[in-house]
Amino acid sequence: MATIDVAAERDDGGDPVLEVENLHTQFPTDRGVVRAVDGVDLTIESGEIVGLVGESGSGKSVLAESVVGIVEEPGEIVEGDVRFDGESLLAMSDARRQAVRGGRISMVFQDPMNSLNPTLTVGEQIAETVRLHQDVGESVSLPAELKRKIVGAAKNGDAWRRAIEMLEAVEIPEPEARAADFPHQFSGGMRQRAMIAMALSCEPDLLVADEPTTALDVTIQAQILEELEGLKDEFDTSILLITHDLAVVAETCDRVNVMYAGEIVERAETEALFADPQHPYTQGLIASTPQLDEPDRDLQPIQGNVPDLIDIPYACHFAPRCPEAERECFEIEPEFRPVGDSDAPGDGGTHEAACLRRGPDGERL
Amino acid sequence: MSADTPVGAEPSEDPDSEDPDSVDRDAATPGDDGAADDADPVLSAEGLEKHFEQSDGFLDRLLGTGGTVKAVDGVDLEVREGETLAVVGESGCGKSTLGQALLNLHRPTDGTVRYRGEEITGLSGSAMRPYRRHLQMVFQDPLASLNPRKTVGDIVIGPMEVHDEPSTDPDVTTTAEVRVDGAVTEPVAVSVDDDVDRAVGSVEGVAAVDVEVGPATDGEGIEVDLGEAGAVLAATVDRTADGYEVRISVDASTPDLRRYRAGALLERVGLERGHLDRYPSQFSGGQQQRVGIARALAVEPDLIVADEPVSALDVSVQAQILNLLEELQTELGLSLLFISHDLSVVRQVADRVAVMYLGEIVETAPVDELFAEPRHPYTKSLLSAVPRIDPGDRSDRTVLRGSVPSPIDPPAGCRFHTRCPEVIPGAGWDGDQESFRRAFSFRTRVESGELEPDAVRDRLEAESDASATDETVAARLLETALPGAVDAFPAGVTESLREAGRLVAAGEDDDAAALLRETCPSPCVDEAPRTVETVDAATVACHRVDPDAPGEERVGD
Repeated sequence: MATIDVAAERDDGGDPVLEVENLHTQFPTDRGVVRAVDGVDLTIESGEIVGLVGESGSGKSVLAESVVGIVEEPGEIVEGDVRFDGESLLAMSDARRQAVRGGRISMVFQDPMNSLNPTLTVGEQIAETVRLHQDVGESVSLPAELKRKIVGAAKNGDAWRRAIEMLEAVEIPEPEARAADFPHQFSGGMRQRAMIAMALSCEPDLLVADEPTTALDVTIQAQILEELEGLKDEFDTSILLITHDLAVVAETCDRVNVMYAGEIVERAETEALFADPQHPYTQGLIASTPQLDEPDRDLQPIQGNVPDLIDIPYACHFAPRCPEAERECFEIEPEFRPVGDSDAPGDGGTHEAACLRRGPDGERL
Repeated sequence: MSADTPVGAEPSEDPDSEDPDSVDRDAATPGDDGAADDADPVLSAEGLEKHFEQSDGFLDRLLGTGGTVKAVDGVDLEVREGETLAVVGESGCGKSTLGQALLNLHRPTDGTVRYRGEEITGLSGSAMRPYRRHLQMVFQDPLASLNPRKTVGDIVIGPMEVHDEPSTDPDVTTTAEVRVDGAVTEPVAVSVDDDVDRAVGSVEGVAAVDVEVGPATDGEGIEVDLGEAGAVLAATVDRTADGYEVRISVDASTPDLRRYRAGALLERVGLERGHLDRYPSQFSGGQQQRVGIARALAVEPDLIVADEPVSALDVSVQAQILNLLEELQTELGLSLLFISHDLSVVRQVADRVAVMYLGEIVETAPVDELFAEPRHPYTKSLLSAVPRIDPGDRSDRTVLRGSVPSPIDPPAGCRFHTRCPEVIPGAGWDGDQESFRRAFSFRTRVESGELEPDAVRDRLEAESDASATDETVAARLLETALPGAVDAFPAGVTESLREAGRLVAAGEDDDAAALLRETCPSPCVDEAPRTVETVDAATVACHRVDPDAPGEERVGD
């Protein structure tokens, strides 16, 4: 197998690490076409943590899968582009994409138990990634891999050592001993750390973390989030953090994108978004989230449910649940408009919302 | 009054419920001797324990190899009339098992559970049945807790069939809300049968029927419209000397009554009567949870144990369900035991909170009290770990290291001592608390036997291609397992820690542990904390709060 050297092409210029442009990912079903991602633009600059927040069914996981290139059949990207370091991931050859994926882009999933191989030790799984993507002088041919899986890997090999270092970096106690454990011997939090260790073992430029703390307790969540931030600095990795939890986003991310029914509806610097949420959906989300320090505030749920993503007949997907919707909202496709107070601290003039009823005077409905 | 109520299980409705504006009121509540019961909490537990045997069989028991998971280990708890008690804790702390043991879904290993003063601990299925009417449950996963092959109607009717509902409740007053059309000039008296509460759900002990009286279409006499309730109720009109007498009575078979009530319940929880014939899979998660709640309400319980009822739902839907639960509680006077891991949700719904850690309740307090001034170090750490939306609400975070220890062999003394940031230094420690905490973590790790010198040796040898001595292995162990630097302790302590490291490297774990126990002793390990009452009916189990606790020499507080 030819090794494709992608590491040599790293450049730390000002270009965004990831650019998603007008992306459409669809799933044909018997009932019609599910437009899970329906025209999404998203950029991630180097060294940034960008949040993607939305409820279940908003298409945020499919967006992540589209970025990493693991959309499940029969889903396909029908339009748009995903550029990584300026180069289209959709246009590159399979072999090259495979080299990029895992090496320079990696992913952490919500459920670590289902994403780790139960029949291999944790150390071996990390070492395997290292051997595939980094030149450690260990063969990745089938016989060599088989031998390692059956007999066990050499415990003094570079790849294995790297695995231990990574487990140490994510603060797994006794990494030397735990590397030889199987996933079921790990607790939930440790499994998630192992996943992160594996994802970061090749020092990727971009880490896509899909609900990485949702299955964990708050105390463990706090540990993992703290670790992700630390690792971002240590490995200089940009992170796309996907979650339904507004508070997690508020604490962790530099910028936030709010997604609803396949579309991004609002984006801003984190501070600006939470200080002055603009889109009615974002406002509704915040109003329905119970907050520890505001016990007397009544919860104001958003009426109704997230729509089926098949053939949504109205222009603004949120219109039927929106308390402010007018007739025009059902008919005119909302474009992004600058909103919020661009002079407010932490705004940076990048606060945008896709809503007809927001934006500068004169444009606003 | 046909009082076919379950034996010995009648709840006493609050006798002083307000007098509604009713045309006819059935004020009689014969056989109600409930005044004395008011003092009793709806549900209480004392010393409740639930242990699970891990052994698989005879041989395990003989050799003593199987462990015992102490899921719930000595819990005292009270759910009072009309309140929401939240039980909060991390996964694996035993909160779900507690909820199930309280409802006798698990036979408790020890301790007692009382429903309104009557002991229900370990009752058999049939003996428990009358109580089940009053104690219902709502589950975390709405879809998994609804039978996929039954219609929503069947699901909601199920509990009514089991408990032979709807029956009439002697404590429920029946009444009518009458609207008389202006065209009817003669007075109309309406009386309602006592057993109409079989068809019409009661709110705060009153079952009200909507009655609309107008002139009959054929011009003779009057006509009575019962609205939707007309499906199961009938009105008989008698002409009297000075007007009309209308009598409302039940006119339906029991299955029809049940179906009608199921429909009313669905409407009450925000669904539609037309949903009766749909299947659970045709609903969204939030709607499924509404069905689960309707099922729990079907037998008009006093108390609902809700085990993570909103964890599987999106925030916007979660808020709908939380609001619904609150409405139902005010309206029906329900008591609620709300089990959750989410402190923000607990803050929103609870009146009182019990914080659970490794099978024990470490702190209980009224909700405002607990969040304003948490006293147990575990509660403090939990609260500080919750992410906040508003940056102004964030404080310095105490990130707890490690995860919850195994409930098979919980730590001695205070169970939280292995992770507690405020662990108390024992007599003889002459550094500050912070350095004690560091040394104590090392002790905990040595005692737990999790250090593996052989693996460390292998790695050292792989790195340097030379054989590693006990000395270098010990140095590496201290470096990785001891937070901070080893020489930042008082001289004697540093020496003992080094020695302990060498003993571990030489494989003499027991000696190392003994040495460390001597070097960094703590009353938190030696003695379990008492549960002490603080102000405002809060209880805390922590040596730091107990004025009579051991360890008088608390350095660095």
